[in-house]
Amino acid sequence: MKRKREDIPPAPAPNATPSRRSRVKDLTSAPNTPSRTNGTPRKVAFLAEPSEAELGRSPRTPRQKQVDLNDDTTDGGGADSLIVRNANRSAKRKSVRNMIQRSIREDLLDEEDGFDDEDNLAQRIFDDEDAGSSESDSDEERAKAVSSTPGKKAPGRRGRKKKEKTPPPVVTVEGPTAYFEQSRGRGKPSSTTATLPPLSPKTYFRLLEKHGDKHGTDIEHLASLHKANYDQWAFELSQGFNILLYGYGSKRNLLMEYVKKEAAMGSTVVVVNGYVGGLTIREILNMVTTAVLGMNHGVRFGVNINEMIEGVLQLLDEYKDGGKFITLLVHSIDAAALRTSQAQALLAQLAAHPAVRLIASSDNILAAMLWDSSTLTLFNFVFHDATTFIHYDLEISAADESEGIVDVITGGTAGRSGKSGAKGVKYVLASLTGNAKSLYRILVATQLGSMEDEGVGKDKMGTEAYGVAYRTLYQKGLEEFICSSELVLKTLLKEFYDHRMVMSRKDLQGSEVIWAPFRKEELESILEDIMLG
Amino acid sequence: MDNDSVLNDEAGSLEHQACYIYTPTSDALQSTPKKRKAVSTSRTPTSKREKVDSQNCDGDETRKHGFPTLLRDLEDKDTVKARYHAFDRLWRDVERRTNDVLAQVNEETLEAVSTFVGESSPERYGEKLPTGLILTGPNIAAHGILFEQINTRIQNVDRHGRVAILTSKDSSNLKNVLKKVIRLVTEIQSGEDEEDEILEPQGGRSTSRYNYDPEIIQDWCLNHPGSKVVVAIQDTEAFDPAVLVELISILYQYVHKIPFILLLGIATSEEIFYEKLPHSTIRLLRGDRFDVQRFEESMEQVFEEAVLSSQSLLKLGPRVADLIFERQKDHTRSVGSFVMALKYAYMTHFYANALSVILGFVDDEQSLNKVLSDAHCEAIRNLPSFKNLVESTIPTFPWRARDLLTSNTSLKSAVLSASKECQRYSSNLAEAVNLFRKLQSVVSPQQASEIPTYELYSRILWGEFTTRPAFRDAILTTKKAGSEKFLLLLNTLAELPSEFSSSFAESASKVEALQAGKTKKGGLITEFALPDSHRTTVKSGRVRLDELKSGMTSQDNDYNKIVTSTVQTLENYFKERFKPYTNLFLHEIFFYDLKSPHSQVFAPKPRPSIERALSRPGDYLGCDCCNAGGEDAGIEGSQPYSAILYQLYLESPALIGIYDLWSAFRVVSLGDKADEEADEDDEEEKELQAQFYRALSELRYLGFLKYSKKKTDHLVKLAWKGL
Repeated sequence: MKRKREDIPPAPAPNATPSRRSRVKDLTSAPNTPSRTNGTPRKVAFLAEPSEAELGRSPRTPRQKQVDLNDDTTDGGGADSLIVRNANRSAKRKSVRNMIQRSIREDLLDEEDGFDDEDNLAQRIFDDEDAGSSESDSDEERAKAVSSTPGKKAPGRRGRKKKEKTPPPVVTVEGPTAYFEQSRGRGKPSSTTATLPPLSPKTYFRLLEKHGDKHGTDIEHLASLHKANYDQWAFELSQGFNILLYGYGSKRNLLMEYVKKEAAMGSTVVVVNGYVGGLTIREILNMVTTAVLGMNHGVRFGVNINEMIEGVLQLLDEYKDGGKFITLLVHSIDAAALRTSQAQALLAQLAAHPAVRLIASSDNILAAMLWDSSTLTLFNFVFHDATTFIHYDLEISAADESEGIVDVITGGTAGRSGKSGAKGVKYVLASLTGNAKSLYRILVATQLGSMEDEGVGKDKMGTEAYGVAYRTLYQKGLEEFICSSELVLKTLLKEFYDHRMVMSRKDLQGSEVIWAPFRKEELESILEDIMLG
Repeated sequence: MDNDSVLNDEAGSLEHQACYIYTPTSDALQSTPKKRKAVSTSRTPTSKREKVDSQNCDGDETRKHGFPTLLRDLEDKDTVKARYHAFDRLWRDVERRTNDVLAQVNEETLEAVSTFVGESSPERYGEKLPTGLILTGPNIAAHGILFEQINTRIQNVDRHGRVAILTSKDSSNLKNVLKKVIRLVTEIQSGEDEEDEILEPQGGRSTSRYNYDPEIIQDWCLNHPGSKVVVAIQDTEAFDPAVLVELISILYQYVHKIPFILLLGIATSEEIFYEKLPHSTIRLLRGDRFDVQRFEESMEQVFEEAVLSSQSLLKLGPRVADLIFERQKDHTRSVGSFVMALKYAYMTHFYANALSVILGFVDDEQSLNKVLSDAHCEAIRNLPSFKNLVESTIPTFPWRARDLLTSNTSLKSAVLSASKECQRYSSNLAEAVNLFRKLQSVVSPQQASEIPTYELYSRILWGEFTTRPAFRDAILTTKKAGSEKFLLLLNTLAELPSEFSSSFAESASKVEALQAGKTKKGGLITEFALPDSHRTTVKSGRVRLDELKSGMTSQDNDYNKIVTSTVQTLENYFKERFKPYTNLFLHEIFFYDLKSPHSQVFAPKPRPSIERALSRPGDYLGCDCCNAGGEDAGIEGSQPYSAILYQLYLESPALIGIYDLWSAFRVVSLGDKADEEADEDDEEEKELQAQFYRALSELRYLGFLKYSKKKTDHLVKLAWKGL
């Protein structure tokens, strides 16, 4: 190492500047480089630069980082970039490596002594380079910064700047080293308050629909490869195995098409959409029963789910004796609704029955943890990699529904309060007394009324402005015999506060205003629920 | 994708429905329009039957097995069918034999338990509750089957009475446990007719009793004199101890009225079980313990029957055998899953190897000749083992080698003789393995029980077994054996059917004669046997050896000769038998040795495959744009959005700011255009944003991240690649 450092060649010509990211790659690929254990060169570059310069060049903003990243893509596009990359495994790289080592040393020992000669040289080489490449960038930056209106971007910049001062994040992206590096906790990622402008669900879906897939043909080709296995799957199923597909991408279409073929050949197919929120194992058992007996069979099993499965299995025994079988298709067998051990145990019992052929898909990276050895033996799975690269549109929209889709659409900003969510409210309400429900109904209905008057959009949050005065609520409560005294009202409200179902504030006149902090849409569904329930 | 639109249409609102019965569209059914009815209303078995009958029988057949046409579609229909039937027949045979073995596996335990149940009576156990502890071993997957067997045995075969099997799932509270016991004991016997009587109390309280009142069982016992009531708990460890204690005390209180017998399945050990219960409870129990056969033993039996036996035509090759047994040893430890793995080997072999059809006609020369088409012959000529055959034939019989290459007829006859040869090899192998195991069990029983046959199997097939320590040890120990042990060995080996049985018997009688003539006590010794000594220096050893040699009598010398010659014979025999299977022509057909489908199908790596798909999408998509960088291509703007986001995610620390992620994402995706100032209402920007959200959602759905509760607008990283 020592010797190498000494014969650093002079800096390469400025026009041959490799991207910083490509250097990152070189470093990671080179054996024994210190970069495995510490921050990105990108960051190191910032660190190594004189801090005054950084502060002085104020437009060195998020954009700067973006440019860095960008280098990679622009470089990567050109065919000759590789050659350039290789050709430049030279001074630049070595100097970066030196600096990284320095920074590690600093990290470890926390020494603040000056650069030694070698490092100085490396520093100079790097700085020369950097000045050449980044100045033009920053010029452009400045021009743009002036022209653009200061708006939502501004806080973002502030945030970015802060981030740049934080210690270097990491370059290792794999394995335990990455884990320890990245969880060290000193690299506070960002204190930016900038948020993304929200997208309404409508726009979101419209835009996604409009945009075709990047790799349309490749994805289709991939699907065709999987489809070539249909016969094999059928054979495996017929031999008493059950099939589980894994891999990235929605396997819904793939499975539906398989099932279409199956059904065309006369087998009975029960489809279970695991990703649908309210799914229960009971529904599946009922559906299997219906598939066996036909509609309106009128057979009722015990209340106990274990009794139920026994009944279904007996039915299937008879069914099997008739030489028939049921193909049970479960999309996302690892989805939230089926994630209980009981549901999986029952499914396994069902799948183990010779008259049931289970074909399922799993998506979560930890799906395998659902099963212990005895369930797994019952399932008797053969696993197939079915990476499709098809977007999980249905699955995620169903998954997001439970947390409120806006949550995702706005990147989780709108609904911190919404996170406890409308769904949670329904659960809480279900466990409360009728009076409490009625009280909440009054509150929501009144709030909705005033929101309606204002003509606000569906995904607008309920706020103080639409709230109900405490006195009004009490009056209404009295009228409907919900509460006989203020004390009773307060007890009822206490429960709501605890679950963050209501918020309250004293307004200017000093009277208390209460409101439910949910979006209009959610409020409507809550109201509906209360009325129906 | 035309199909896609159809699919979406027909799924329509159904995709948000939790579960439903799939009804094919008329479109999909145009080819077989009649069937629609059968599918939507499956209650009409008669109509369905008709449909199946009306179908072309041939089509039905292909549908049933779904075997593809191989050899670039040159394989004709009948051969495909023959292949399927060969599979069916051979596997059925193996399955039957395996099942027989499996049925035997627990036979001893079942017998003992059943006898215990039958014999238990108040006179025998006095006041105490008769209890059987069944030590089931750690493989919980097998417990269900075992208890089912116990159930059938006691209830239907030996008719001792009723069995109520309880699992830990029932142990939520005592009431439920009792209800279940009562239901299981009374209901089954009485059948459908009397169900009302039992159901009625279930609805609430019957006229006099709660539905969890054990006296219901007492009534039942009055109607069924002589019947025992067995309460079996399958997984005692997981059963709520408090409930178990209560249950035991209740059973104990009723034991003089109702002939209760308790069976407890214990996966760990008796000690642990005793520790779990208070002494006062344990004092109520009295009974016996039953051991279930160890996994290794049953596994070995199944292996010998299903793989080693000469009746099994298709054998596992060493690679796939190693894979399967390693998985057994480290993970599954279940005979059932081994059988399934074996079945999958059969399935793959017959499904994908066109030549496997030969296995179906090994004894039938004419049919074999008929079934092998020109394409088959061509395929045989492409086998590596054919190449070996020809190359070895050339120096001696050049004309024959030419014949093999040019004439299909001579090739077919070679195939026939090769298949005979393969079978002979297999049966020789089975015999030799058997002999070796016997030898090992006599001379070093310790080792024999430690290393099961199936772990030696792959070494033997590779032909390197005779150089392994296990083999050398066995031979050495044989040399050292004293005359009594050796005699035992000879007698054991003579019992086995082999070419040596007579010579073994002869040697045995000789040794016996020698032993009889010997005056000194302690049997004959060989020169190889050093008496146990703690003085282990070379010199002292040599001195003792010399002493020993000089002390050897003439009988000893004769004995020595016999031992040496026998051992020599055995060694040669084993070396002859344990030859590598790859020497055989057509070994590709008689030995299934493909590692890949097994490792992928039974030991998948779902997480790495998702990670790979996202970090190097080019591997799956096979597109030029994403593959440009080779091994460590890094992020490219052309990759799918989720892949871009994932790679950015990998670089991020444990807590990720969404805005930071977005800016990085934007830059990578837009490439050059990222420099342009973002316009709030820019459609393109918004679209990218939508893609970002979707990618984020996908990563969350896959389980890579979740929203931080502590910090607004931040994500928590949940998974590290390669960890």
